[in-house]
Amino acid sequence: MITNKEYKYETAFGLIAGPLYIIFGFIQLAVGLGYSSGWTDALYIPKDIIGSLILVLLGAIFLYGVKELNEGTNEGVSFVYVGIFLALLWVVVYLLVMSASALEAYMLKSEDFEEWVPADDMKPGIYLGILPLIGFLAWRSKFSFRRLSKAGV
Amino acid sequence: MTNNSIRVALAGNPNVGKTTIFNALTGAKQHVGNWPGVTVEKKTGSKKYNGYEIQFVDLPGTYSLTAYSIDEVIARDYIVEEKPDVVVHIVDATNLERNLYLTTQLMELGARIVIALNMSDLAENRGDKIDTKKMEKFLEIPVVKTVATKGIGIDQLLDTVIKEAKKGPHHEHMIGYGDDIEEKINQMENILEGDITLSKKYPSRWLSVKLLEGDDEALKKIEGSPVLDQVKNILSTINKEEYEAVMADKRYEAIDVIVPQVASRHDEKMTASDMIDRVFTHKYFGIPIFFALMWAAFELTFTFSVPFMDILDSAFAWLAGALADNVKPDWFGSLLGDGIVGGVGFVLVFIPPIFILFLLLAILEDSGYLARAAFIMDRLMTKIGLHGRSFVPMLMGFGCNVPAIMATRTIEDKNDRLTTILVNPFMSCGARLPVYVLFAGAFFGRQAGTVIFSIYVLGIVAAILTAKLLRSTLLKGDPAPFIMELPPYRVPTAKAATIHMWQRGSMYLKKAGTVILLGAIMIWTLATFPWGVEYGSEDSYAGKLGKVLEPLVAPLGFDWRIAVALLFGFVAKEIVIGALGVLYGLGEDAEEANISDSVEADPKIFALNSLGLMVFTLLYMPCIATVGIIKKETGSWKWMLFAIAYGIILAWTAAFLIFQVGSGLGYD
Amino acid sequence: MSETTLNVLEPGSKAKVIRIKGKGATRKRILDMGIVTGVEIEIIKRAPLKDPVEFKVKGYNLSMRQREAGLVVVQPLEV
Repeated sequence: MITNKEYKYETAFGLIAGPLYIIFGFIQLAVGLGYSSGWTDALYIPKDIIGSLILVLLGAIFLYGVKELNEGTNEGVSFVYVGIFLALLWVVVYLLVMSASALEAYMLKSEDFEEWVPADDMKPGIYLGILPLIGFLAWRSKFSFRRLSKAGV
Repeated sequence: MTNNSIRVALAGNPNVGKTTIFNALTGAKQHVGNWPGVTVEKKTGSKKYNGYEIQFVDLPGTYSLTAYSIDEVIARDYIVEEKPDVVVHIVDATNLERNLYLTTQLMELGARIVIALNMSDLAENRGDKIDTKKMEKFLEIPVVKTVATKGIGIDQLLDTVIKEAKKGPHHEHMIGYGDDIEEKINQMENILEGDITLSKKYPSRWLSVKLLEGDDEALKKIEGSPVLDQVKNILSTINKEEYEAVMADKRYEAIDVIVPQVASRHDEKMTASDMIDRVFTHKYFGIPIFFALMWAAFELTFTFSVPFMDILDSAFAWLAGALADNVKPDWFGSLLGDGIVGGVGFVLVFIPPIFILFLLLAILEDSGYLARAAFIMDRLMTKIGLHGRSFVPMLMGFGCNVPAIMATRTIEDKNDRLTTILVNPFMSCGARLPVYVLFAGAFFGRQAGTVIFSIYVLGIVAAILTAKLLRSTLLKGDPAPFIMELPPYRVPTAKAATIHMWQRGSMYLKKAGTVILLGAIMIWTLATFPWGVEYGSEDSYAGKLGKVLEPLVAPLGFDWRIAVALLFGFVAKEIVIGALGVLYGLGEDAEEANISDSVEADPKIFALNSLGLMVFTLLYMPCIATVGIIKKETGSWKWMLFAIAYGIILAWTAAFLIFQVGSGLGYD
Repeated sequence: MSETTLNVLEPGSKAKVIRIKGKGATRKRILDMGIVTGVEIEIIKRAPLKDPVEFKVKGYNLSMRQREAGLVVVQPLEV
């Protein structure tokens, strides 16, 4: 439910993204612990326990934001924004790792990467990123860091 | 100033954009070194402007100019003794009060000051109004508004610096400390002026104030002066601690009078930075987010960099091979190829992870997060005798100890930093993993994972115990206070982060590079000569040395081959495997699987002593690059030798216990 | 209200500094950071492991361990 009027879209976003990240996090955790089946392969769930914990963490951050917003604490919106920022940060990290694998496979032709295809490095952490990407575009102005200065300390 | 050359020092609090101003002023013309005798970074640079040659020195960022911190002593000694023509004081426009505290002390030093009011856009954005004209009038110091990240105000700053430099000798400004203290200051000044050489060298009011504050460094400056006894007489009549507090009060009082007249401040209840901080230092999410970010940094540093390392590795292997095969005479080709290119190549292969790590550290630091990381982890680190700021370098040690030890520069306290450096090699770096994989895989089968994990845990335990030991013996002392500013979050700029990365990274290349080159040549010599023997074989000097060392490692269950392999492992720990390959006559490029088979087939190596070997590899002296960086960062041969000796003794003892106790219990 | 030290106050409360105990580097550093007699200081939050503590003083954020905060004698203010 959405009781915060001022940030109703952010609350709604958290209500969608939070549970999704947590559910995928637990599925990935199960796979990491040894469970495997056709449908988890179809969802590109990797055997990656640390990655699964990060998904759960991101989901929990979104939901905590929703909790605070619904309690009337408008500052809770920072959990939604920071959650979006962190989720996208991980998309970038995963894509960079993927590009490193691509380099190994196609340019260096390393033995360990002989049968590598991009799908091998696909994971929920990447494709779930579409949600925070939408959020980022929707609230772009909040991410312009207008009120933060540039650093160079 | 002499002719058209002007010497300028940059002073200011940490986190006010001092480096950005320095970069904007000097461009790429920078030189990074150390202040004499200490490992505090010294940056210098120069700029030609309107026919003037301006030399800049970036002083360490400080909040004050006391004798308690090495940074502050460096900054004030430079101003007092080198007497720069102008001191540019960078002031954070959003935080005038605390920044002006340093101004009051710079004034006492008798320096000619120009204030750069930095981040003035940020102050204006939030609605602050700062009247620079009034500020100039009250302080009698020219004030220039700057926004260093956009290059705004830099030319005006240079113009003002030139104008001020022309004014010649500086005038003194002062803070009144109240009748009682002023009377003592007067007495003290009169006494000090009795010593002509002294009063020529140091501003007598500044020296008087410092002496009355109980400043030990100031007292050292007048040692040997004929007026010393008179000074001590006065000092014995006062309560220095009370004076210290009253003087700090008076400085802030003076600031409190000025600031409201020159600036109107709009304190926001909740700034954007506060909003971000609610999440990053949250009581439940703070720690998980910290670990998630560290893991991201780890992935980028040690996974993303692998293909780039592979490219460099094969390039150097090709070059080394080409040189060794084609250059005549043979020994010279071998020296060039196997010795020099192989050795230097080893350093250069680490460029990708080291530069990526430094880039990420710069981003974390510039964004303001590193201070939060210390805030979050301090409690845990204090428990084991370290500091909150020790955590990131310790974690990075799992990747490579070299950049990790360089990252300890963010730790202020000398003992904290030294402890962090000395225990860092016990964090098992990536280079040691192949050794564990080989032996655990060969002798422990399905338990291999558990064995390797235990080795890592043992490393952490060794680090904790060593830290505790050092803190209660050689590096005793109260824990350094943790009084740290949490600067506002900022957006890191690519330029600043890149400059930072390049400066630290190139230092690794220069310094560690020379040490490694020497080490590589040394080992090549041992393995090659007498000329004609097979590289690294039983007949080479290395092999003979192995035979000599055998009795030393025999109680650990190691034979001469392992002794030689471990000796070579000093260059880089993963070499242990390659060296064993050579010793088993498989050639340097032997597949790991073949080495594994040979090791398994060798009756002299079995589960028990292979466990000892893994533990020995974990603990014994750090690799040569790490040793080089320990020497560089501690600035001391003594600590470098300590790190080597301590590691070897610990490793020997541990492997001895494993082998002897294990044999006693009937394991093999 | 009576005198107390900064380390015992709860996040969200404010206090006025009366004096700084102790001596040497730690005390000087506390003074230098602007925690001088008469200054108003706000307790923002404790770190996730309860120590150190974050404060707001003179418009900027500062963190200290409980140990250092215990040196600051304050008069709690009504919020």
